[in-house]
Amino acid sequence: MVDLPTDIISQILSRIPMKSLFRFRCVAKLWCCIIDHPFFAYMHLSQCNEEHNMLLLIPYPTYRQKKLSFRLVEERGRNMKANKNSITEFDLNHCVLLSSCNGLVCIQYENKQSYVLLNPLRTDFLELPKATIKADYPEPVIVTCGFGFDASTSAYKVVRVVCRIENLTSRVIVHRVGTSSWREDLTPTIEVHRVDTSSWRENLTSRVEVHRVGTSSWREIGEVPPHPVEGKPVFAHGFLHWLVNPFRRESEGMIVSFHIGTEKFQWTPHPKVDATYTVLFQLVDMKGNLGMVDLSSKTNIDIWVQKDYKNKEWVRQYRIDIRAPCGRSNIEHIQVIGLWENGEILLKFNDGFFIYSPKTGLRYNNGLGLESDSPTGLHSHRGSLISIPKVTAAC
Amino acid sequence: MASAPENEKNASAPEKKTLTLKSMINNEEFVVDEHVALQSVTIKNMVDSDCAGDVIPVPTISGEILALVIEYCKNHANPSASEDDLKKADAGIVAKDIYTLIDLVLAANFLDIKGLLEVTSQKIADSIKDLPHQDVREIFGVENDYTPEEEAAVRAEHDWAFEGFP
Repeated sequence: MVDLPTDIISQILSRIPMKSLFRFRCVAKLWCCIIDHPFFAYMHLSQCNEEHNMLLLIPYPTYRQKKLSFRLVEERGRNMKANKNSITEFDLNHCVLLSSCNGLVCIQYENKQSYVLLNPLRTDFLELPKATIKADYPEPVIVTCGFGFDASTSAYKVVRVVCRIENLTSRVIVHRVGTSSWREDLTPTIEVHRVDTSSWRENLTSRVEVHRVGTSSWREIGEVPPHPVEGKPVFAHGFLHWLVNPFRRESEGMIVSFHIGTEKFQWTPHPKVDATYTVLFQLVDMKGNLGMVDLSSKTNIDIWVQKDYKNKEWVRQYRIDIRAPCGRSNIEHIQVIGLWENGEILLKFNDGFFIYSPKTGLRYNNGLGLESDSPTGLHSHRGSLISIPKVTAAC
Repeated sequence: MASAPENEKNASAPEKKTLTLKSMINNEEFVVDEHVALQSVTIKNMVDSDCAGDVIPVPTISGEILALVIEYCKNHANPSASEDDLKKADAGIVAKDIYTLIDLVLAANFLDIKGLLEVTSQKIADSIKDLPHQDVREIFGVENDYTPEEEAAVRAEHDWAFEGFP
């Protein structure tokens, strides 16, 4: 039989899902070489449109949990099960997964000034220089960080926004999204704060710094968001997107965006929805497009997708009926995790997982088959072969 | 203005020109309309540089495969075919066993027909993605140049990907 030319092998392999590629590295040395090549990583990323998002299981940060380990969750016989073996484990304490782009994940650990970048599928790991804007004030400080890619300069950048609430003398009550009550709390968290004075609104000051991956420092930029931002941003089409918190300040929009290339903030138009109480909304990554979940209705969940990014046009792509038999009582306990196989949507209701298929509706998923009792988070992740040492070498 | 030379060309060549493609493996000949055959960049380059005689010899491609290639080119030269029609027709062409597909992808590569190369590569990818790597090695006739220790080491780097595989 004729040997296939290398470029045909690349053509074929660029259409193969990630997990199979890791097995096919064992076919022969040439195949391994093709799959590991940095050029192939980008070819695969742009070509493999059918690549399913992978579900990664990541433990929540706890004091007990010393290791950060990633496990793959797959659908087997119409049920999702977590793999027995972990993909990789990292020695990091108190991690918070921030945002991901091109298969790379940015993680904050220990305090709010230390960050690492990793590709969980490749066991690649890069410790970023320590951020410079301090976050350890006595007053509440909101730190949010996002990670994105600028295609025009091939630059990966981490953006860190530190918002300080100054002169705060009044008490703060905290509402943890997903619970039904407010509790009094004086410690800074990235939860929803509400202060019972009216003067605090003027005392929010944001500072922003940017780190270009591969360089050795962070630099503060003059730009600040038009509205304080918090929580995890979603990266799509060169922008990081944050859903704004209406408690902070009266706002003219719902979504604040940061362009990775120009390093400027802007408002992004939101879909035409009735409510503006953003606690009932979530931003999600819909296969590289920005998605917004509307949980404000008692009967259905709507998922809007910004398909046409240039014209900022939103399309309602899913309307999920959540009345009986699957129904639920408390809307705040719903989380849309992301896209699952064949255009299905994965949701978390309280502690159970549901899969929504546009054809057959909602179906319940039994447990993930986990033996451990430690709380875990499930993240929808579009994996890539991109190797972090290659990213930094390009700078 | 831009369309003027084209009009002239159409006016001067009203009759349909044909080309004969000949498989050098089993000497089978296929007479095809020139505009159908010109979807192959390789054939177009030969015709443009006046290298093509009345019969164009096609080395290393069997008549069976050449027939599939011509069927693809005919479908895609039909201006009234909708995108849906073409998708269905493409699916029919690549509904073949893996060995035929490998011959077809080689032919598409040699004749430089981008669309055919893409649909065939996709079909091959879909057919092999869930196979054990040992089977893939056999299908592609690839010699295993790893020592058992080396292979075990490469495998150990991503052990999780082998769950449920030999």
